[in-house]
Amino acid sequence: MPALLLIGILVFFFVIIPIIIYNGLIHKRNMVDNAFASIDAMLKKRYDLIPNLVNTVKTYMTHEKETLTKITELRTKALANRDPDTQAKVDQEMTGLMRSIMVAVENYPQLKANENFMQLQASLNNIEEQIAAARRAYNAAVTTYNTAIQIFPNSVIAGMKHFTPRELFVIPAEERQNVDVGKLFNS
Amino acid sequence: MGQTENKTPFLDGALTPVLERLEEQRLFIKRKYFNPLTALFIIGGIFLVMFLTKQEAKWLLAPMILFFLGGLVTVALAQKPLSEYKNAYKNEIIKGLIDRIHPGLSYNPALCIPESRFMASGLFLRTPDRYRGEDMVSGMVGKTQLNFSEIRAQYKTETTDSKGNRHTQWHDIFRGIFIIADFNKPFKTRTLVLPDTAEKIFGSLFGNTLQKWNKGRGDLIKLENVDFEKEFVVYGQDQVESRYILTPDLMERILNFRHKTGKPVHISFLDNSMFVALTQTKDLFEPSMGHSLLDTAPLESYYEILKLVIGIVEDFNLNTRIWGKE
Repeated sequence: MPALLLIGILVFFFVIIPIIIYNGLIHKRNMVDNAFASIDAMLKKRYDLIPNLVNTVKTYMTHEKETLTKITELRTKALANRDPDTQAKVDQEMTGLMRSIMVAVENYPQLKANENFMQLQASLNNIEEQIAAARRAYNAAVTTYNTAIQIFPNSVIAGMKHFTPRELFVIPAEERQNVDVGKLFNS
Repeated sequence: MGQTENKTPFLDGALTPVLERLEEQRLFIKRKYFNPLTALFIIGGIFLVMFLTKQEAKWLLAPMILFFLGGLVTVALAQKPLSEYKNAYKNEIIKGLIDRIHPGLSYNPALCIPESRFMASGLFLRTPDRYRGEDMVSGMVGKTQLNFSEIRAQYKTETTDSKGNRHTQWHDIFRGIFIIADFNKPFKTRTLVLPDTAEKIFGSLFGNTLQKWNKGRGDLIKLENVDFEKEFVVYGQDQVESRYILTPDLMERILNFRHKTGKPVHISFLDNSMFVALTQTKDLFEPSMGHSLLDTAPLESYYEILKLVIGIVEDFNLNTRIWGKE
């Protein structure tokens, strides 16, 4: 009888618990992948709006031709290469450029009053908010996952099964502070 | 420089003429009905004491019946002037306060947010056995539709004591002001922001585990604002959409609002609207018979509460409509 009990205890500690931990880690890793997919979907939505935006503003905006070309280029680059690293980098650059375009719009009253543009602007604002939310959701999932693979005894299983920590999505500094409109105008 | 003993009258005395008129009405009701009633009680009490000491029925029966009837008639007669007084108080003074804060809002003392809307908010799980409310305010504040009223939702428990007598007890599910405001962004799923009792009582580790078990409310949403996480627990049906609603800015605003009220705040986001339940411990917007209306302290506190509630639109930035929702 004691032998049976011993086997039971051993099975519990060396089979059942590791399985539970392993499944938990898989679950958390999938949450991270899922969260990344939602950022990706939101970024795609933004890229879909860009040709429309560029077409609408280019007839009005005479001084920002360069920025507009840059935005179009970035979009092509992002759509061609969908790995997380490129996406993160392009997204950061794109966010900055879009912001400067939206500020520059203030110089073109006619454009500001254009109904087509106003609709586009509202959609873009909305997508920017959704992208920001998706990034935060991703970071929350990554933090949970990274903590889970680092604490004991999960770390043992994580080491054996090659669970590696994920990088947090960098939230652009300008997004964390208020936009300095004056500075954007002067540059 | 001489010291000024009198502080500035409430709202620079704008309501003083109405208050003075209503104060006369109050004194009249008090003189005509309340004072006789008090006298009746005192005399009745004397007879009761006489009966108890002398044990003779003549001290009880006839006088008691007379006093009982007298009391009943007085109370019945007082009903009409009392309700007139109460109506005047609400329609002139409370409405006056609302107009001061935001002209154009409509006020109906008899109406309230319907129970179906209250339950639809998802903030309170228990179905009330008794649902009452009054003092409905509604209208547009800028671009935002705002509705709120006082609500008291209760459930009952029944206990039977050793003698077989049944006792009914009423418990509050919610008592306070229930607010529905149009939200400034379009969204599809439900997000709940509730006072974080588990984390406060059990600490963050065990509290978090308890929060996760609360599956009926949705997934637990862990947010990055530490102060916010200490005060609130957030449940949502979509991790991204909940964060789309609860931006870092809105979290700060909700925290500030929570500190301003000093009372528990429940918030839910549903059907493109924001539901806020603001707990209060007493009935609001009611005149007191026992105190002079010229003492404006209660009125000032009503004014502050109304300002706080109507100020929600400003506090939560609901009039900023740049996200494609008009």
